[in-house]
Amino acid sequence: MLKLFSLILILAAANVFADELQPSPSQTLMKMQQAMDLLNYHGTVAFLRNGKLNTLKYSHASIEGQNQERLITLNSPMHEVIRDADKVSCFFESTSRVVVDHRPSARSFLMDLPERMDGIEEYYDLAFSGEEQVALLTARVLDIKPKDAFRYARRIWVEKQQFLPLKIEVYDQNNKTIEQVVFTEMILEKSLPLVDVNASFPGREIQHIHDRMPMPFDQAGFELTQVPGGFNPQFYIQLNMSDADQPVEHLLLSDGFSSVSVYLEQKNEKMALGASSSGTVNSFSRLVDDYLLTVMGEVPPAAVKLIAEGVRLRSD
Amino acid sequence: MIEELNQKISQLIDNDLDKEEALVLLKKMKQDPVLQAKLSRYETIGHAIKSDVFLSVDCDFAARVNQAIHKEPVYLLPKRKSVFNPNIRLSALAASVALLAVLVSQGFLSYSSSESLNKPSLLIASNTESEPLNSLAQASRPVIPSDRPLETKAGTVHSSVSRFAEYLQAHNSTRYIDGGFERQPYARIVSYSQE
Repeated sequence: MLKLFSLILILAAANVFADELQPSPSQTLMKMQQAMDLLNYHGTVAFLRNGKLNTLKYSHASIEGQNQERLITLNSPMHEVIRDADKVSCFFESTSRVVVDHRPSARSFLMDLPERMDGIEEYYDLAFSGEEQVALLTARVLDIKPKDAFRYARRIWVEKQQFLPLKIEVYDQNNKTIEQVVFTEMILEKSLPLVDVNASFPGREIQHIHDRMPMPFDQAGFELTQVPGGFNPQFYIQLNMSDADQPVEHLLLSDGFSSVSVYLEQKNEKMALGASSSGTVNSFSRLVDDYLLTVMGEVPPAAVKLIAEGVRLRSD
Repeated sequence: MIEELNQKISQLIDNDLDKEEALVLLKKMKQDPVLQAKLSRYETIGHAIKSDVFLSVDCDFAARVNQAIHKEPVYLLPKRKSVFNPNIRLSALAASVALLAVLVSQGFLSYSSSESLNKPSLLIASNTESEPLNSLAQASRPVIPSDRPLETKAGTVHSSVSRFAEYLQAHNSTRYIDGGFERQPYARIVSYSQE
């Protein structure tokens, strides 16, 4: 009897310690960010965005701090996308076009994650809600719920051993799934090669887009007087766009999970004003003196409207 | 005589017999099981020649189907009672005609006095016509809200959609995933080619 009691006691204690050894939600997010950066893995991913399903072969290679993501479509329109730290390269099979977009943001195609986890719980509640199998792997289900009406809720299925994300869902304010990314298979490798875009498409004319070099924030012709908490400037650039005589100003904000763009350009009589949406992206446009202001991002309509209504032109 | 009957049965199967002759033949066949069997054989041979498939059907197949149909119970649905009596129907008809007359007259009056009232519906029609243009950027087509200003004409919508697509492209590299960049309006490709 004493032996049985001791055994139960030991098992209970082991269970308690096992629970304590599991990382907390914020630690899990940190580990996931590191795993996504450092590990070499590939698999098949289904992206469901704007009601459209795209299934792609995905691979992530990491060699001596250099990361590269590669996506190859399995269905038409056939194309391949390679993301390096400072550029996104795209090869379209049907037209044989190769486009290299030099852009400052070095985010993953799978999801945006905060660089630092401290302060994230000021705007989001993080909690585990169980364990599930995804792509035949055991995952802990991490719920990320916003504390205000200016961002969307998320749920991430994090693989238990390697802390890689197996499934990501984004929900609107009615709890409807508006975006889904799911690995149908994931394979971990010791190493994967980095692809050199220039060497991969010999003889093909490569179209480079270079007008996305970041500039100092104080060069922006506008300032933001009201921004939802946690959204910080990521970069400021000036872009050339069609039908625009002057460059279009672009400021990107992010709270780690969601990003919002602020565009300012000379007034265009043909542009429609007010709120509009496209899938997960909401936007709000209004005139500020002789300029057209548009705020858009993967945030609820209230967030883009709040930011847009607080934009003032700089007097200097 | 038999040869002639055989010929007519063959013509009946090929739909070459005129109506009167067909009726006479069918009456004869109704009383003569031998002729019925012959018709069945001819049909089977014709079907086998045309389709290379042989389907054997008993001579009394049609009779058995007919018998089965006769055995089916008859369902008598209760007759719906009319909600309105004839007097009420007449009154309702008269009231409807009167209402229609009032509405039509008011419609003509408002059309002549305030042309601007019809503008929104005309604009909706022009937007519908511009659908093929807008499909250029179908992956990122914004939902145009109903409270947009009246200048939301075909060109405006196209311009807005085009600019929206450019904003999206600059906003997030995930647009590359669905191949949306390739479907951008031609104007953008030209502007990049000029660099």
